[in-house]
This record gives sequence, structure tokens and C-alpha cells, in this order.
Amino acid sequence: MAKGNHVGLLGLLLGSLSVSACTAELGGGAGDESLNFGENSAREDDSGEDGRLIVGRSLRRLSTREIENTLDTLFPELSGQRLRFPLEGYELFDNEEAHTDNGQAFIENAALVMSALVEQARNVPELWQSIEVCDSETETSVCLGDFYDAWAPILLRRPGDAVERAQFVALAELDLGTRSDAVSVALEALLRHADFLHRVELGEGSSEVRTLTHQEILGRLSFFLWGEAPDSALIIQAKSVDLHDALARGAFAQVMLGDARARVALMDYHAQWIGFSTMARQGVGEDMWLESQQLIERVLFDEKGSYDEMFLLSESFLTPRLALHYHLPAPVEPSWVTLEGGGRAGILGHGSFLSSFANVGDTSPTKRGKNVQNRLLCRNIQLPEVSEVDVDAAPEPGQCYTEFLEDVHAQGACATCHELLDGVGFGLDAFDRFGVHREHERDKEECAIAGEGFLDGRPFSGPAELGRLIVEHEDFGPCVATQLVRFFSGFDSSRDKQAKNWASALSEEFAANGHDFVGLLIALVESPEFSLVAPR
Amino acid sequence: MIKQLNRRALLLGAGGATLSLPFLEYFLPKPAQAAPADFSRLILCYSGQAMGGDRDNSRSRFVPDSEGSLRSQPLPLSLQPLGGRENWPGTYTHSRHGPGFKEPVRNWEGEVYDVRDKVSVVSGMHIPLGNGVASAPKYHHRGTVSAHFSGKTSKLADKAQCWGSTADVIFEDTMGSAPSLRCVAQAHNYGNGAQYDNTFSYRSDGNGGTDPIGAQVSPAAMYNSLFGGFIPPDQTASAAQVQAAARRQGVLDLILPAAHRLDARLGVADRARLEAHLDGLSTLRNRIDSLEETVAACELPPHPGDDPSVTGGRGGDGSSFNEGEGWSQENKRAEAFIDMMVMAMACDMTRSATLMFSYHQSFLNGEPPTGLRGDQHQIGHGGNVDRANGSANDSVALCHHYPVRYFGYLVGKLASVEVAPDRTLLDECAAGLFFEAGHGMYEGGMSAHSGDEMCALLAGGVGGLRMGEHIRLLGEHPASVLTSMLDAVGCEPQLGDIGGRQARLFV
Repeated sequence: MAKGNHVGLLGLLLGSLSVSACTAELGGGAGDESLNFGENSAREDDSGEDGRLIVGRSLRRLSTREIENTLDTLFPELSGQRLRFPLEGYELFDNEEAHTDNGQAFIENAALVMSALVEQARNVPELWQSIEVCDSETETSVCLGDFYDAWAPILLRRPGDAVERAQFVALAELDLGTRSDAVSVALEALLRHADFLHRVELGEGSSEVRTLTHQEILGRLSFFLWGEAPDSALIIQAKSVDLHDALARGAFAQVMLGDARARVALMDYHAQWIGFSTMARQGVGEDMWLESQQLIERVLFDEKGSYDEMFLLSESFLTPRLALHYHLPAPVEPSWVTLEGGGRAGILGHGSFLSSFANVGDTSPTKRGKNVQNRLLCRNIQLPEVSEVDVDAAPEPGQCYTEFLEDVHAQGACATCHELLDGVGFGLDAFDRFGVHREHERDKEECAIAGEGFLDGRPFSGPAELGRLIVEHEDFGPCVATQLVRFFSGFDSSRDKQAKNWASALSEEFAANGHDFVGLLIALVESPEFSLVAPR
Repeated sequence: MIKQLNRRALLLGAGGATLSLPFLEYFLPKPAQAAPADFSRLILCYSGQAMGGDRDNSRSRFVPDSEGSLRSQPLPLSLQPLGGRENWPGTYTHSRHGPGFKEPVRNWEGEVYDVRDKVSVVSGMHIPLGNGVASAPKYHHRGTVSAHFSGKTSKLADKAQCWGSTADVIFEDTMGSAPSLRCVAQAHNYGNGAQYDNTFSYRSDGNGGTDPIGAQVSPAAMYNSLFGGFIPPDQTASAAQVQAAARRQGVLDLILPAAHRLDARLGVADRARLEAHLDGLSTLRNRIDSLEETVAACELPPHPGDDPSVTGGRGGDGSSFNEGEGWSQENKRAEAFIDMMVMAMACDMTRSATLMFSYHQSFLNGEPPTGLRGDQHQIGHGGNVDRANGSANDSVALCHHYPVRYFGYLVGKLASVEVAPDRTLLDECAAGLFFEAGHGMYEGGMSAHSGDEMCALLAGGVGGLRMGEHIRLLGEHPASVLTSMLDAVGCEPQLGDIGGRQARLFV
């Protein structure tokens, strides 16, 4: 029995759907009136006065990714041996306030990581010399002042403060050991400083909506495009640029995108958005990551073509090991390979994506469908508040998984959502939970898999055809813009009226420029919102 | 038995020199301490596992055959580690290798205490299904959590967020004690975690919502925070140690006022965001101060060493974990946290603690702790994974050995610390181990999601808690065990919508 054949009809009606039993928000594209159901209905945020988003968070704890990247850039000599922060969990983007707790555990981790870093830095003489700034003849108090003057603007991302400087200098009065010991205290204090561990954007003046300072705008650029704080080279480079001028800011962003750190940052962004950022990068998983990384870099940086190629490209970067894993002809060495037939294309055909939303023991058409709908089309389909069936139930021995799912999910109110979810998932089901093409269910040759599904009533089979439907979908462009605004903002801005308006404007530009993702990035940077804040 | 010490824990070098600095006005006062006569302590532990597996109608392997003394009856399979090594001898047949294969129960290194006289098993409890009082909106992962730990029905059925202050927070606020040590032994979500899966501590925000309180996952970081700079009083501090302590203090003396300066620059909403940060920094400082005070039985615990590396990986079933994935020596992490927890209490650095052995709906790889190929979640559902003795319940019981063994270790450790003649730290404690779900009929079959047959382990002598027995509280709400513990430690026995104490839990 083919999977998903029954799911098309309701999907055809999606545009005028009334889904009373489904905890979902559909048509999340910019300008749409959302259909809110149940728990996820939230009051829209009315901040901002001009009908567009004023990014109102003046204080955001850095994600551990941002901290680690910053430290690696500042102290590359230590990057291979440094103690790292423990991994933090997140649902979509790691820089959102819901996932960046700045309390006790984080403070303890920062204390350990930073004190260890300082100790290691002291063991690298050339590095330590560059940190200390002053020569061996300089008095400790003078040295501490010089140290503060040199490092505070970089690490605190603001001008130094006279009162604080005096406190750093006063370390010289304490019996801390050698002068290097005193500088160690000073360095650790800057690295554990609230201004270092948080993004502080207060803007200038005292009005409700303020313009960011030059340094704050530079910080936004750097965190957004490089995933880290500005380093001294960038600070110097930006000195002659009027970052308050939109076009100048955009041009500067273009230059920043030429740096290797932009490639890493945009890989991280896509891995989080598509949903494979936490995959184990070991064994064949390492090759899957590389496959996706190569695609993202090719589309965004090397060919700079339409972003649609992210989902349509019929070539893939395969290592011999990954090709064997996929049961494809193995290249002699890692290289781009043309994918002929088989239904693969673009990132949805990668093992990274296909292995990300599995169920126990097998694929999960539901999870795959949910993540395609929610992540790529910005719908908000969630578990219902009251489950009518055991969602971990398993098929009886001998029963085909497909039939089991169709039976279970067709029950009562479940059917409405599951047709939307499983319809997508069944279309990908000819690829198992490790991204390998298959003809039948695991250990059940009698259970053939058709791999046919529907997205909003339109039939497809496999990642290549789904990718085509995605990029042609009216919600795709708005969702690309929405997710980028959310990542930039650091909170779930999908229900923020101003954020929606901003994303809507950006998506129009995205459509007008032929789905040029880099163009979208620049448009976001050049937006007035980029340089404004409304402290709360 | 740890030697009782009559000595002064010393933080060296911090005081005099810093007194001349001009920014002492930024230092926060120490939080109010509980009255010296009040020795009660509260410890809450958690395992993201149900009491039994799906579709296995045999009685839970967790529940002893009869009520009364644990010592007078065989320990069920789940609880065998409470009997010490000599009572943890089991072997089980292993479905992967066929019926003839016998695998010994995994038995990690280290002390395994016989704590049958010090732990009570509470069974038969029930969390109602639906949207009533202190209910689970649905019997599914996370659905029971809010009702269990805050006594409030969840507003988000698929989230583990608690909708009221949890018992550890109530204890802190009531006693005015230092913040709890909050630890999570599971190193990573292994690809299957959701928001709020790694904490079960929440504080009411006064507006109908709650704020999660994060737990520490790094034993090394916690050790550094608690005991870095600790100099045993029977040792003479070297000049280098004095200076090292001064440096630690020096860093704090710079960053605490800096955080207050930042706070002053922020708007109201953003200041609230910085509050936890300020509290955390103040806690670090107060911990240093607390080391200056004389506390019997306080000594330096062993350093846990570097944190075990995090393996990553994604659960789902055994075959989805590459070799070595999904298990980052959680047992070692738990042991390290417990060692620190016990000594921090002995040193009176804190009076409450929480320890999550695993996340809600944990996907820990079950193979290292049990020998069963499969993740902990799927083992509970009896899916396409190995089974012990052909039984989903036996498989779940083997998964219980990890939290039960280390809960026993905690109890044994607490009992080994003499805080006064004929009184141990355990006598001053109320400690409990709780689980994500029970085992009962749901949707026509036995389910690992059910709120029936919820069980808990209870230990500690404070307030007259009854120890060493199996106590069946049939149909009672498991939050009432927590309210009873609150009562035992001197707090009002109220947790959300659940109030009062269970008289049968007391002598």
C-alpha cells in the first residue's frame, strides 16, 4: 500500500482551511492573518511605533557558540586545547533568550572556562606578552591601566569607564603575586564581565526608541554575520565607516561576508534552521555535515546564485564513505557528484536532514512533516493539548508501519493535522532514518514503501520534488525572511507584529531579487531597524 | 565514617587588602541564613523514566510485595542496588543473545551502601488525567511533571514547565537559605531534548507564570565554584595559596560591581533579565564567605577531575547510536555531584539540592548501564530493542539501577557524615527520588506514560520521616510526598494545589 495517497484532498483545501482540532498556526507568511489555536496563541507584541520592528532587547546573553567563537578569534593559540562551555539545548536558534540562561550554572561555567583560559594563556609566552601590553619595566599599576585601556573596549564592546579603570588599577595595591598575576585577575575579570557575556545595546540618548552607537551597530553586524564579537581588526576597519548610514553599513557587511567566519556562521545558521545542528559529527555523520556545508557554501558564497539551489541542486559533495552509505557510486576522493535519479536533490536529500527527525526504530513521517512545515514554511503545528492516542504506540507484529500510522492517525481529530504532517513525511519515506534509499520497511519486505506524499495538496515523491514544491511555495520566501529576522532578533519574533511587517518587507525584496539570500542579508542589515533599539 | 573535624575552614587572603577598595558599596549583603538551630535540609532527585514498560502487564518490578519493612522481604529488581553489593547479584537473560545467555547486572565501581533501613519506598500513587486540580493534561512525557513537582496542572501539555514554585524554591524562600545546588547528571539531550527537559526547578513570577532555574551539568565547574580556594584548616597556607585566594576574590570584586553598574543602566524589563546573573555572582561571593565559618564535618571532597567528554549522538534505538554515543559517563557525573552535594551541606554552604539523573523522556543510551541495546526511552516502550528476561518491565528495572544505585549512594554518604554525636547528616535531611511516570492502564493497554502507580523513594530522619519501609499510598497524589517532605523540614506543607502531609510517611 502506498503511503500518503489519501492525504491530498484536504491539503488541496489548505488555503481556506478551518482546523479547529489542530493546534496549529497556518499561513504564517508575512501579512497573513494567522489562525491561532490553543496553547500557542500569544498576545502580539505591540512594541514600536512605526509599524515595524524595533528590536527591543537591550540585554542578551551571548550564546555559548558566540562566546566560544569570540574566544577562538581572540586567542587562536589556545583554540585547540581550551576548556569549553557545556553544550546547551535549544529548539530552533541557540541565541534566543529562552535558551540563554545567565544564572548560577552559567556563571559557574564561565568561572571555570575563563580561569582555565587565563592559565593557559600564561603558558604561551608570546600570547601572554601581547595580552599584558606593557614591558617588564613598567610598574604594575601603570601596566594594569594600559591593559584596561587596550582590552576593555574590545572585550566589553564599549569605551572604557574611568571608575572601572581605577578599580582595575587598584589591583596593584593587593598582594596578588607577580605583575602577571595581577594582569591575570584583570583579564579574567573582563572575560567574566557582564558586558562581555551579554550583548548590551542601550543606544544613544534617552528617548523611547534610540539609535545604536557605532560600536553597538558593529557588534550587531559581527554577531549576525560572524557569530562572534568584533575583534580589534574589525573595529579598526570600521572606524572610517559611517555605520549609521544604511548603504555604508550594507557595503561593510558585504566585505564581512568575504571572511571565512561568515561561512562558518551561515553554516551554523542553516544547521539550526534546517534542524541538524546537534547531529553527531562522527563517522559518516562527519561526512554528512561536510556534504551540507559544501552545499551551503557553494550556493551562498561560491556561485551566489538563487537560494533555490539549496533545495534543488542535483549535485552533492560526497566522500567515498558517504557515497557507500547512500548506496551510490563512490568517488575516488571527496568531490561533487551528479545525482542521477533516485529522488535526491538539495539539502533535503542530505543525510544530515533525513536523519534529524526520526522516530524510535524507524523514520517518523510525522516528525519530518512537522519540521518541514514549521521550519521551512513557518507554520506552527504542535502537539495537541489532549492526546487521544498513545503517540509512542507501535505496530503489532507483522503489521506494516505505514498501515499502522494510517490507522492511528486517521482517528478522530488527529486526522486533520496528521494529513498535513504525514503527507509531507510519507513523500520522504523512501529514505530511511539514516538517509539511505529503501524500497520497503525495515525487516519487512512485504511492506513496500511508495515514498509518495503531498504538500498542500500537491503530490511529490522524494527530496528533489519536495524541494521544488518548497521553493515555489508562497510561504517559502516569507518564511526565509521570518527565520532570519528571528535569528537576528534573538527571540521568537514570529508573533511580533512589527517583526512580521519587517519580514514581509524583506521577503518582498527577496522575491524581487530572485531569491538572492545574500541580498536578503544585506537588505536586513540596511534596514532602519538594524540600528535602532527600544530599551525596556 | 568521615572524621569529625573541629576546625576552621579558611579562605585565605581575601579580606584586609580588599577592604581598601572604593567599591565595596556594591557588595550585596549575604542572604539571611536559617537560624542555627534549624538543621533541616532538602534534597530532590529525579529520573526521567516510568515505573514499568508498555504492554507488559506484570506488576511493576519496583513495588515490593508487601508493606512494612524492606529488610524483611526480597528487594524487587529495580531496588536491588539499595541492598548493597551482596544483595545486587542478579543476572538476566538477554534477548539479543538468546535465552541461554546470562548477563550480570551492571555494577559500577565504587561504594554501594546497604540502605534498606534508611530508605522507604512509597508506591501506588496517582496523578489524575485531565485538566482538573494538579492533573496531567495528558499521560505522555512531560505531562505529569508540573502536577508532580509544583502541584499545578500544566498549561502546556507537551512541555515540562512547572506552573508553580517547586519544593526546592519554597524551601529556599521559607528558610532564607543559600540557593540550592542544582545538578543534572545527563550530559546532553542526545538529540531528543526539548525546552525545560533539563531542570525541574521553577520559581513563580507572581504573574501566573514561572521562570525555570537552570541546573549545573559540569561537576568540574561546580567544584570550582564551591571548593576552589578551600584550604583545610589543619594545613598551613602557603604564600602562594594566600595569593591564589586573593586573586579569586579580586576577580569577583571587579565583576560584581560591574554587573551592578550594568544593571543601573538598563530598563525595568532588561533588569529582570540580569537578576539571575546578579544573584549568581552574589552566590559565588557568599560561598567564599561561608568557607570562613567554622562548621563541623566539613572537609574538602575529592576533585572530580575534568568532566567526562560528551559523546553526542541521537537516541531512538540501539542501532541509532554509534559506538560510545548517548552515554557520557553519567554515573561518574552523578557520583561527583553527590560527593559535592553532601560536603556542601556538611559545610553548610547550602541546605537544599536537586539532582536530575536524566532528562524528562530521557534518551540516554541504555547499553552502558544495562547491557541492553536501546535507549532508555525506547526500552520503556518495549519496542524493537533488547529485553531483559523477555520483559519490558525487567528492562525498565535495569534502567532504574542507575538512579536507584546513586540515590542509595547519596543516602549512604549522608549517613556517613557525623554532624554531632550520634547524629548524621542524613538525620537532618529529607531526600527523595522521583520518577517521570508510573505504570498503569491507559488507552487500553499498560503504558509507560501513565500517572498510575507512581512511586518514590524517601530517605532522611528529619521531622520524623519513616524509614526502611514500603508504604503504599494508594490513589494519593505524589506531590503529597513532597508536601510531607516540606512539612518535615519545617515549611508549610503546600505545593500548588496540593496541601497537607501524609501521616503514614511519619513515625
